[in-house]
Amino acid sequence: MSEPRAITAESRPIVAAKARLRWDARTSRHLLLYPERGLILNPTAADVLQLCTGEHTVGAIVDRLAAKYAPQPRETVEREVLAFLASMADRGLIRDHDE
Amino acid sequence: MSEEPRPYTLVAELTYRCPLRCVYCSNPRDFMRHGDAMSTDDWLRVFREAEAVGVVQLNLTGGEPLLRDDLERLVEGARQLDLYTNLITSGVPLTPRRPRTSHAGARPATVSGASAVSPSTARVLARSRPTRTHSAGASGAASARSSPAAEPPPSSPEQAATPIAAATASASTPSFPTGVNVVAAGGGGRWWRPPQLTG
Repeated sequence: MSEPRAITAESRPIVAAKARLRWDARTSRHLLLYPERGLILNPTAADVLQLCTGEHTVGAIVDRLAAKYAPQPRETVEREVLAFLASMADRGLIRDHDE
Repeated sequence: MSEEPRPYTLVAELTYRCPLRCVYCSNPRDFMRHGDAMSTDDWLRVFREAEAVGVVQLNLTGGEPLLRDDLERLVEGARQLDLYTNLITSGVPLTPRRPRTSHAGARPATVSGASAVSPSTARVLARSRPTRTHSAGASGAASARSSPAAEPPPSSPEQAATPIAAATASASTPSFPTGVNVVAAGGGGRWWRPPQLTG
């Protein structure tokens, strides 16, 4: 199996089939559940992952979140989204839809 | 955000029955003398009670969970509770008919005793994706003994989610407790005896 491609602005990330995003009323957080583990997401991480449907490019996700989190500079949002998605890809929790 | 301790994972040992005799397994050796202790309705009640105290993830194991004829009903019940359901199986009893467990809502199949998986079983598993194969030697802990066993809450927070804006920063993401239901220790996942029912 070849090494997964790095997530870039052109990637269209999608949450891995093994993982499931769900709301947890107890913590008022989203959870990302995957085999034998899970992550409690903070609101911004949940915002990013909810857009990881394979439809949107990272660029489009950044645009949307930069609008939501204005006046955060777009570059800041992009840097943090890319870093977050890279960490999710390292864990095998997202992949590029076009791969 | 509530910091109340809570269990995240329920390990449900549905049956002691199993076609394998893996040397590292903690299943009782005289398991043929045990019946399935809990009925379908009892398990569904336990799932509801577990969900009520915070469980979001369910590991169905045994023994061999596929030997329970009511597995599809249990998985469906778990799905209705929105539990993320893992099936911990050798894959040996899988037939083309049986992957309906995944249609009923069980997501990943964790295959324990990996070298036991025949090519035909692998094909069945491939159709019931998503699937991952677990080599027994690669996993960590021994099986929880009590049945059912609720896992303790996470103890070591792990930073994973990145805050976008400083104003929203600081939420860490504790890792859930590691599942403890894939038996390990030696053996390299090989069977110790031929897979036949005795007793």
